[in-house]
Amino acid sequence: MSVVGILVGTSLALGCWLAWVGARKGWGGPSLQNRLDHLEAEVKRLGGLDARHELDDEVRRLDEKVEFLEALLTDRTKAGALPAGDKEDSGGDKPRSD
Amino acid sequence: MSGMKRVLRVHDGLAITVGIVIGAGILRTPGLIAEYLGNGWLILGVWVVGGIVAALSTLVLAEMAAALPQAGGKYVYAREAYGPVAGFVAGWSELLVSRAFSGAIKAVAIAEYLIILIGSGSVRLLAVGVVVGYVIIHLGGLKVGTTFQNITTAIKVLVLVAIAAAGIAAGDGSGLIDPITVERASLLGFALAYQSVAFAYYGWEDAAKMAEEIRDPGRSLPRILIGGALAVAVLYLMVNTAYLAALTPDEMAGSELVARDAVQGVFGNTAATFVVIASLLILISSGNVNFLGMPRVAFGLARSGLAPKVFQYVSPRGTPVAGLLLIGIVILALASTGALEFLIQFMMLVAISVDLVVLSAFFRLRRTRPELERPLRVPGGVWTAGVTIALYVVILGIIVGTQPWLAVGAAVILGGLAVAGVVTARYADA
Repeated sequence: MSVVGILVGTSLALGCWLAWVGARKGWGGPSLQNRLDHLEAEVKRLGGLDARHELDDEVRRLDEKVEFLEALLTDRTKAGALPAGDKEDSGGDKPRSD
Repeated sequence: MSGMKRVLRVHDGLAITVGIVIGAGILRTPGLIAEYLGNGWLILGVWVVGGIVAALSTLVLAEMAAALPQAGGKYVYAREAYGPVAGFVAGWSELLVSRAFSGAIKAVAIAEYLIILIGSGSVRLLAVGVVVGYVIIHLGGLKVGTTFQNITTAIKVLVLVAIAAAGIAAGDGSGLIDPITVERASLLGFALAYQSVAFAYYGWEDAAKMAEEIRDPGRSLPRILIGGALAVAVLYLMVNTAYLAALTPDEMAGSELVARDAVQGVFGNTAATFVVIASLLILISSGNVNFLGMPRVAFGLARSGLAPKVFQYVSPRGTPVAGLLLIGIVILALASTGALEFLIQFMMLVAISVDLVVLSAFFRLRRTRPELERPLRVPGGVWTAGVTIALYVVILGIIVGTQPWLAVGAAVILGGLAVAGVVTARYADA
């Protein structure tokens, strides 16, 4: 059975090596161009994720700002620093007359 | 005859099928497939094709499994149909390529996910460490119980369903906006994607091995096999639809764990970390099955005279030591490359080639062994088998045509195994 063992082992090693070298050198298979495409896709993907996270951060910051300003407005209104109607009017496009 | 009891009902069989098939593939390959195809509709299409081929193959194999209810799997059908050399090639290729490569792929994926979790490290070193860990555990005779396997099976189904539901509900469908374009639909892209998808569906042949343990197999087995394949296909499609609802193919491309990226984008970092941990558990459980099953395949080959008798030795702790060490060394060598894509592509080329021969045994056995009692006859008979074989021929043609050097490597391995099989058969005759 040792002959069989050598045959099995050699064919496995040789077959894997041939396939591996062929695939790496791009002989008729996934080539260097594929590798480059992959890297480009990876850069794009990471860029996309990054952009998404940055946008998320920006939205979160704006939400916090809105919350802060609303709380400030409520406090000021309660304290009498601003008239009650100003809160609703403040963000509108109501035409003002001089 | 193994004398196994017919205790499994349809729902048991369905659970086992889903448990066997779902593993590393659905976690690790979606990023690769997105890279190869780059279009959401093409991605879903190749998963549908994979599901159809898996369901048909399972059915064809099931008739042979029910007619020849012997432990050992594909090499039994190849040997009965074409003789001992074909049995030798099918058995050893299943052991050294299909299962060993699959073990190495899982070890590499575990290493990648550990790095995601801990932040840094070498994939190759960690993969080698994972393999050594498995070998030591199994040499010690420590059986990871069926409870662990059952829990991880439940986890994998729950995690995938949760990801699918969350992604579909919360995503904006960004990955499915672009129509299919000609430049995206290349043969090489399809071949590479199909190899990855076929890897994710692989395990269907193990489901067919339940034939000797199913109650009323003639009626139950087709339901289990078709139902199981459909359940897995539907789950895979739902998960991929969820990914594409949350991410574009460009965002998926190259990702080691698309599930994490999709969940992170919708639910944040904590949920993403949970997905990584759950994925690791699923992979560890899945890899354990390889180390548990492969030495037993070697044991079966030795019992049939297709491997040295040393593989029949079982330690007092119940471990087939020689088989475990052989498999451990092969997996270690493969995992140390860290080349996950290559391992998947090469494994599936060899596996599809061997499966084509094994499935074609269906025709030969119907002709040469008509007296065999067949508790299950494939619905559609030779037509179903013919369509299945035709699909295999077309797919194999595309893979060989687009990756000829992988085919040369596969031919060298299968040719070498055939010569070794001839030598073994002569020893046996002498």
